[in-house]
Amino acid sequence: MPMARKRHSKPEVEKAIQYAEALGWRVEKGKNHAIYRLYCPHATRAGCQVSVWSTPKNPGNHARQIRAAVDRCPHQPPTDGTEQEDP
Amino acid sequence: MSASTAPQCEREYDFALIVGGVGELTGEVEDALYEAGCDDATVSMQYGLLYIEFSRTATSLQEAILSAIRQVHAAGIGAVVYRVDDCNLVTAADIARRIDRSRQLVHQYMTGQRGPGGFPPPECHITDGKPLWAWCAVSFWLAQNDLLRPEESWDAEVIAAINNELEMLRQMKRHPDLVKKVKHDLEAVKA
Repeated sequence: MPMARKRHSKPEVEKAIQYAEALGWRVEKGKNHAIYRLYCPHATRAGCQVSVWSTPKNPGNHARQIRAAVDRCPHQPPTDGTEQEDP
Repeated sequence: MSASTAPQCEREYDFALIVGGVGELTGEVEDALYEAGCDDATVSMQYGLLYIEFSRTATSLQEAILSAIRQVHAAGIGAVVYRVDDCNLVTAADIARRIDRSRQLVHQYMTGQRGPGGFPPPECHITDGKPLWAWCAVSFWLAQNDLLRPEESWDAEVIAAINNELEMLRQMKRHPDLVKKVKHDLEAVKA
């Protein structure tokens, strides 16, 4: 995945952004406190968006939450297709 | 079950708020939430709602959630916290998942084949074969019988109390007269 953006200063957050990018999410530059906003592949108003702080209070937690938000997105196929909910 | 009155140490609590009233995730919304104190949360938007996931250090879950709600409302972006993302009504499968036990064992608790008996009855959908239980009641029973940590049962009560109040406030805004009338009439028929 080509990266035409500046890396996030916190490595764990950068990895979470790259995780989203690998699943087809688009990264747009933000301003002030949110350095980036991530957009899911469903590129309409109904699509999912995630804000990425420049300086999160706890980068590890922020990275985990970004990944969780990406995993919650209903607009992308499951990565392995094995996750099945109990009826 | 009651909250401990002993001094409590701070720890981190994970929870999420579902927030309406903000049509679009903009830089202004992000900055307002960050500056209001939500730098320990991740803000996302789905189905036109903000989903704000916190990892907040506090002395209790109640303090963590209430301080987060205060900050979201104080951000001045028209945000209305709809609820804490946790549903009190659960299926038997949900119960099994929450306590990391098999559905068969949960079924045996329900029928009294295992455990001390007296499992709480379901709360609703009792006629359609897909009953739902109140997690508060179930977790209380589990904690009383040493099958769940008492703190987890208490946290379920805290979340349900907060969600009940948030729902009531929203309904009050939509139909104040109805809420007042129902409250009045129910008080009149109290045993």
